[in-house]
Amino acid sequence: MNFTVTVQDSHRSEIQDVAERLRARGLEVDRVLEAVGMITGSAPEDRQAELEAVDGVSSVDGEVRFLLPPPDSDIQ
Amino acid sequence: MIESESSGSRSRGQEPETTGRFIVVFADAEQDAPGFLRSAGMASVADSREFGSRAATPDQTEGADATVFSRLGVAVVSADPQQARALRSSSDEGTIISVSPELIHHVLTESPGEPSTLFQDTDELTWGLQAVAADTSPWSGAGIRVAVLDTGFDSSHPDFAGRQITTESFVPGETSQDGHGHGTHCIGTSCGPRSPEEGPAYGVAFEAEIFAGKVLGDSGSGSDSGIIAGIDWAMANECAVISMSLGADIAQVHPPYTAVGQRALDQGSLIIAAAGNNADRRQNDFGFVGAPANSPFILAVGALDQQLEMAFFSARTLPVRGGQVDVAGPGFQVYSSWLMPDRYRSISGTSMATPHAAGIAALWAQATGYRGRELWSLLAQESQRLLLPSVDVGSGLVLAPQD
Repeated sequence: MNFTVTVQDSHRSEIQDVAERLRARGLEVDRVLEAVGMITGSAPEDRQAELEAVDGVSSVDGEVRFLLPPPDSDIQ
Repeated sequence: MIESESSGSRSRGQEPETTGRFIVVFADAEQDAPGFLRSAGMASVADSREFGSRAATPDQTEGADATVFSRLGVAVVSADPQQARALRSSSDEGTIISVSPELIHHVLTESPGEPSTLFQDTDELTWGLQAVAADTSPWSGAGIRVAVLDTGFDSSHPDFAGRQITTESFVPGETSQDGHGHGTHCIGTSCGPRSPEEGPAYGVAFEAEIFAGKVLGDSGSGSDSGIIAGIDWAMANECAVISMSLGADIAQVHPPYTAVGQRALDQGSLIIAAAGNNADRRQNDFGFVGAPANSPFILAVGALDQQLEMAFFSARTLPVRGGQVDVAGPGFQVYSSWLMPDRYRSISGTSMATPHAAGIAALWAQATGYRGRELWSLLAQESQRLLLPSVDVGSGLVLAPQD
């Protein structure tokens, strides 16, 4: 399952360390986003609580998907 | 009531009633306004400072030629025409900003009548550019970076030849080339040209620097990972405006976008997102603002039609913190760029209202230098109030800065 990790404001300067700790708890890190202070990646669904307990993590949320109507639709 | 002159021909004020007195605005509240007025021939000058914290009531200022409100740097003056002319001429010397007739104000007893409105595309301008008064604005978005996070951009489109465009794809396995059309349409509305080779002008911030981030694939689908990566990219590139014509019909705030929106504002980037198309007002279904527009720190845009009525699909405020529609923009039958060889298409949606608001935000950013929360505040403050529910249009139709 894909997760979006919000890094605590207090830990944004050491976001790479937070990413390392998340990897150690089983998150396959996709992107470490320094400007916005977020980390995206994937892990088994039952790991969410464990990832949320990592030092420097504010929240771990399951990914939402977005879908536009097809190109020929009048309303987009 | 007194109506101020607004852009276009929508507001027709009557001749204002005046008292015969004048309101003088001084350039600097610190200067000696009473002394200045006495030297200009006012024998009796009342100074609000003499009343301390008490109000300067008519009883106390009666008989004075002038009453000075020192904290405001404003005076009410009984001047004859010659004195008024003398005061006006001193405005050339920088002491006085303005000398205006004092207006008579009345209690508002009824709603202002609004003349019926009907915008339409002309050979020169789309109806949307007219409605947001972009055509009469002296601002172009020059020097402002606008990120449009969508399906990418058709880099072969001739209307954008010579423009500064940075593209990036956040969709695995796809280039930034738009394979859908939606992204190219949104970029056209927010940042497209004013003098295309053919057809009407359709772009609001026509000299803004474009950052086209592909976060939705050619199929139109995407996810948080790519969208947030796109926002991160736009922030790292100091885009003052981030336009996101995308949404998911979920009736809760999605927590990542709360942090993302707040951090973007902190760093001077304003995220503007589509309220959503999940209403069908023809069936009394008003829908709700979905994610990410329902984040408290993301500006949500509803869609108006050519009569400045709600587009039937435009979502209503979700009754949670952040779930409100903040402003509205033209979002019905909007003409803009499309994939070549089609080149142009007219489509409807809050997706089309959003880039109107984003382009207008870029104009304000250029005109004022404001970023982040101040830019948000300005967009709301300067929008045109409409006789429509605030849950549908927020503070109203976004308007371009004028002179």
